[in-house]
Amino acid sequence: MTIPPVYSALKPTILNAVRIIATLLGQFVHASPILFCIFGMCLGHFSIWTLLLIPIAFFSNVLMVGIADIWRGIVSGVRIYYDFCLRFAGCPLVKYEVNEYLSQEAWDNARRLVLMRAGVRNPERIDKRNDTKIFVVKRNIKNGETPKNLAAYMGSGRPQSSYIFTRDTAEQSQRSVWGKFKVLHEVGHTSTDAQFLSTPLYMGWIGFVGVVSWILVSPTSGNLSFYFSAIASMLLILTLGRILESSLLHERWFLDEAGADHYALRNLRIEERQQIVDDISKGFLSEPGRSDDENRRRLEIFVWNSKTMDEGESPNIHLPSAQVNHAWAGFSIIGIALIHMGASTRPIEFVNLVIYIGVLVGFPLIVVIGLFTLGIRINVVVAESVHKMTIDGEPKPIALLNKYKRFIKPFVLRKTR
Amino acid sequence: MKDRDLIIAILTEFYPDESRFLGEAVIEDVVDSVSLGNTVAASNIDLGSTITIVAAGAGLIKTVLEIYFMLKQKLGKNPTKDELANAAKIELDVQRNANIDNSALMDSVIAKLAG
Repeated sequence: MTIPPVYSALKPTILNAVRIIATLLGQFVHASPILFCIFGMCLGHFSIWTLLLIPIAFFSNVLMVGIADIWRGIVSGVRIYYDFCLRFAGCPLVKYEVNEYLSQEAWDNARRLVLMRAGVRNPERIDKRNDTKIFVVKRNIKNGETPKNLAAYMGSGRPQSSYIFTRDTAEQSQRSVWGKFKVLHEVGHTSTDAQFLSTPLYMGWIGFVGVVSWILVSPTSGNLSFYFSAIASMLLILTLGRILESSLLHERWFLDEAGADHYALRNLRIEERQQIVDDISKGFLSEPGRSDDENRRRLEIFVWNSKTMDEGESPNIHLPSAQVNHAWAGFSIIGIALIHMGASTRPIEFVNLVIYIGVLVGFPLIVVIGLFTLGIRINVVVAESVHKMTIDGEPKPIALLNKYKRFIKPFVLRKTR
Repeated sequence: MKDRDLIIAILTEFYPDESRFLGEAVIEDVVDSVSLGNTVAASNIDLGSTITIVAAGAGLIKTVLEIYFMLKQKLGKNPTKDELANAAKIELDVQRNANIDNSALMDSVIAKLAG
């Protein structure tokens, strides 16, 4: 079998070994910039107080990822209201159970992927309740606009909090291999979404900026040259981080789609996969908004994954990691800068530790509690709005979202994929 | 068989892959000329270009059916394949002028109707 050109960079060479190490380091820096800064503090002026900062920084990072996760859930709920409920008001919905569309095995696979990415070692032990919300959208009773295809809204990183709106009933969907593929593809989005690569990790930088800002205003660090080097480093980090982030987001569409395709292919039979592969030469999966090169790469990976599955090889997804690695590897250089910055700070004393706890844990904790309360409220009212569409096709108005529609709608309805 | 069912049957026979890809509900919407919209912020597979192809086919089938029944009324009998083909030629020329070559689909529809 001929290996597509995108994999040539994965050959086991010394250069690739260095690249892999730089990538792992870069990913760690992106996920936990504060830890690198604190590690530098330990190297510069080791004290018991500095050592105590390490678990605090870990906990802070967990809170940051939590904030990103809850925030995504809120944005997703608001999107469902503006983008689906209001746009397709008048289209009655019929609720289906997810296992009417998917086999139990396919659903278990989706759950397992999410839990493993969340760091759960034994996902089989976790409750496997099947509560993804799938709705069949009927034609608009007022002769208005009717959705032409599936629409999947990813919740807060879990399939359970996601909504899928489809046109075909479970019976219709099961009659055609593309019907199965489309539903599996959307469920795949909920479990392998590239959000794990960018949004939550990006949150770590907010904590880092908080720490550095505090260092800058702290009366205990009176060294002028440190101020300048800290400001210069921060600007460099934020600029470089932004450029690399853009590079990652550019890849995000590709990673999203390739991941969802891979999940769908894995859960189809060999003959069904073959039929899909035969059909895609007609350009069914090509997206008009993407370049020919992007669409070609997606199909290349698609066919490659299908072939390896047919041959019984590793079920792991094959992605052109080398291209993504370049973006991550840049962060390893920033990691070294962070260590240097931490080493340049004044020794940590008890009073500093208290302030750090406030900045790193206290403030994020208040944000988490606030967002969590708002998130529950939003998700409940959106669920009520969608439920009302199952009765008469009209969504239940959400006063808060209607009142601030002018400000919120343009923000949440930006094209993200 | 109703006209609508006949159009759907011909479409699914002539465009089997496209029909499987679009799904039954969307094919019915295309035949009934329902206004189809799309979401902005959701994840979905773009059906737009395939819908355009199938909608062009559905339009042609509808036209040929209309010509068939018009001829049937005028002649007082089922029109022959040649009669239908001649009458439909004008429509085919219109389609060709619009750079849509549906001659194969036209032959298939005529063969189905006129036997």
